[in-house]
Amino acid sequence: MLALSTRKGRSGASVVWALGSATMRAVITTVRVPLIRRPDQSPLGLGVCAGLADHVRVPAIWVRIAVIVFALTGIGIALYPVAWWLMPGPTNAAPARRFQARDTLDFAAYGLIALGVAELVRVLFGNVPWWVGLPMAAAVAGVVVVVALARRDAPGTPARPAEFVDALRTRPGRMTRAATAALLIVAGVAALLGSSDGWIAVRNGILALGVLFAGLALLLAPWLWRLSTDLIDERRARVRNEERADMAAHLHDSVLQTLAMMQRRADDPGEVVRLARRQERELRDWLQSGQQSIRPDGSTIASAFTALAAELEDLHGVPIEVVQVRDCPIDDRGSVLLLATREAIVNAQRHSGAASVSVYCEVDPAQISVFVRDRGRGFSRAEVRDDRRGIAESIEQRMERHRGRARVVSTEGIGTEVELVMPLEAR
Amino acid sequence: MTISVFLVDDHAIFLTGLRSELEADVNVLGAASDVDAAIELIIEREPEVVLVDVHLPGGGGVRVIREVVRRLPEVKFLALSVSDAAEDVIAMIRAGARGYVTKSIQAVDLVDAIRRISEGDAVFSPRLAGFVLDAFSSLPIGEVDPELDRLTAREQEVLRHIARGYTYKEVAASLDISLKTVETHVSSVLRKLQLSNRHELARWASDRRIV
Repeated sequence: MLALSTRKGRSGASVVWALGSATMRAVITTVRVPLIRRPDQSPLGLGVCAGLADHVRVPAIWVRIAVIVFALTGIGIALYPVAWWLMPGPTNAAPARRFQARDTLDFAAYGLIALGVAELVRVLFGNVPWWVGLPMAAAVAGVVVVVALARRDAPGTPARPAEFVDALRTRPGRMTRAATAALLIVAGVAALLGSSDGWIAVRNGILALGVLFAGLALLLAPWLWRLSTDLIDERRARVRNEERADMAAHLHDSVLQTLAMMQRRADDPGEVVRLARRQERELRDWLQSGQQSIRPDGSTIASAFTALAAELEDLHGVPIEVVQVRDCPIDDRGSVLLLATREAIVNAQRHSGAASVSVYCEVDPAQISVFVRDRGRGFSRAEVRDDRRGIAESIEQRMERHRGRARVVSTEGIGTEVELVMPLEAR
Repeated sequence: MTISVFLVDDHAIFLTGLRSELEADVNVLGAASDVDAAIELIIEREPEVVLVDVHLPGGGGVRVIREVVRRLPEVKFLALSVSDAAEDVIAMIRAGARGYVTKSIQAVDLVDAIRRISEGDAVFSPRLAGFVLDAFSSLPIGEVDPELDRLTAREQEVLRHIARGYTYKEVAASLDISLKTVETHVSSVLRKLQLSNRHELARWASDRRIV
């Protein structure tokens, strides 16, 4: 509070003390929500207030108002950048919220609240010239203008705290910074010179020092920034090195081991092909997911087919090429289709003699179609012994029981194609 | 007369193997293992067909195709890669490649693909055919240019057969049309894929990475 200069000042000071210590207690005791910046929830893109609010679990607006009120004392202005510097950013860098027209209104509202509080303090405690709050208001306004300008220049780009400082480095930014710093210094000096008696002199001296410190902090901001970016660069390099080590470890555990196995099994071409296919699949999974051991969970048709092909390749050693067009969640009838497909693939692997099996699956709004094709020796239905009931039972009858259909076309010497169609429920 | 071919791949072992496999059937004019060397040598030696990998030091296969096509539009490209990511496949075709096959392709099929490319046809692997069907059907209905943004029923039918693993000849027999007609349909799909300027195509490809 700006003007704790009358005899009511003591009670004012104790209120501030009580408020401050309550806040500190809240900050210290609430440890479950980590104290990190939340640029994605912040209109300025700095996320200090939002992070603090998250941490102590109060609405962000209370923290913002509190910060602005503290800013009026001058100390808040110095503390804000320090807090921003000390608080770590979010680990998964969520893009900062873009500055919106609504935010300008918010800031205008905050500014009015701040001026209102300043006016209230002046009326209650008297003795303070009306213009003391102005430099602070100017500082807040200046910062808002600078950030707003920066956002307008680069729409759509994710904002970072760096943008704020970058904005300070631009020409309007430099001028605003210089003007604000000058105002703060002048205000500080004026407050220092304006004090008359001892108690007030000490109080105002502290206040003036706070304002001076804020001005200096603003002047030194770019230098402080460079210092912290150097630290960030160093941290980034370390992360990169760790990633490289992770990748080397993965390649060592997987690819190099497989290559060693392949050399030992060089006399068995089938086994070599199987090892190579398995390693290839594993590596592709890893590259695509960016992590180890994420397996398709089989919750959609496409992931179920991928998993099925992987399993049958390992089991029978004949490569399976899967082409998938569109996808949908798997239901009971999808599972039936999957079982029938499995039987068709196994037949092709075991009986056709083909070097590979092609599987094509297309999801339409009305149905799922699957084609399993091989270029093997083919067969004629008449020659299939009655005790071999795989096609009839496991494929045709199974599909028909669930209102699907199956068609097997085989030409001796050319190959076999199994077509499976399962209608989908109207969704 | 044998077809002149140039190879671009940064994997030395693969390049050596590929060269020895192809030398009996085509005239290998040379090979390069990075983008700048490839551009320079292709323009100097003017091969009929260039086999080009997707991932290359110095800008990738897409840059090789773009730079060469600008100066020598008659050179034809076949993308040959281990990558089967939709993003890579679609990018190479949109840059101007007339086909895409994976490196696991048999030598005899590769020679066949080279011959087809040199004659101005398109070469679609089953996977590429699947991508194209998926991409075109995923485009939102709205302001479409039916000439470029839609596949005809016949084109879809041909692509579906290729995705099922049919050769062009088998597609022709199955649909009871001539081989030439199949080639015409595939070339027409290739043209749509290259010329449709809907950014949804590119976005579809990059979305597929996340799935």
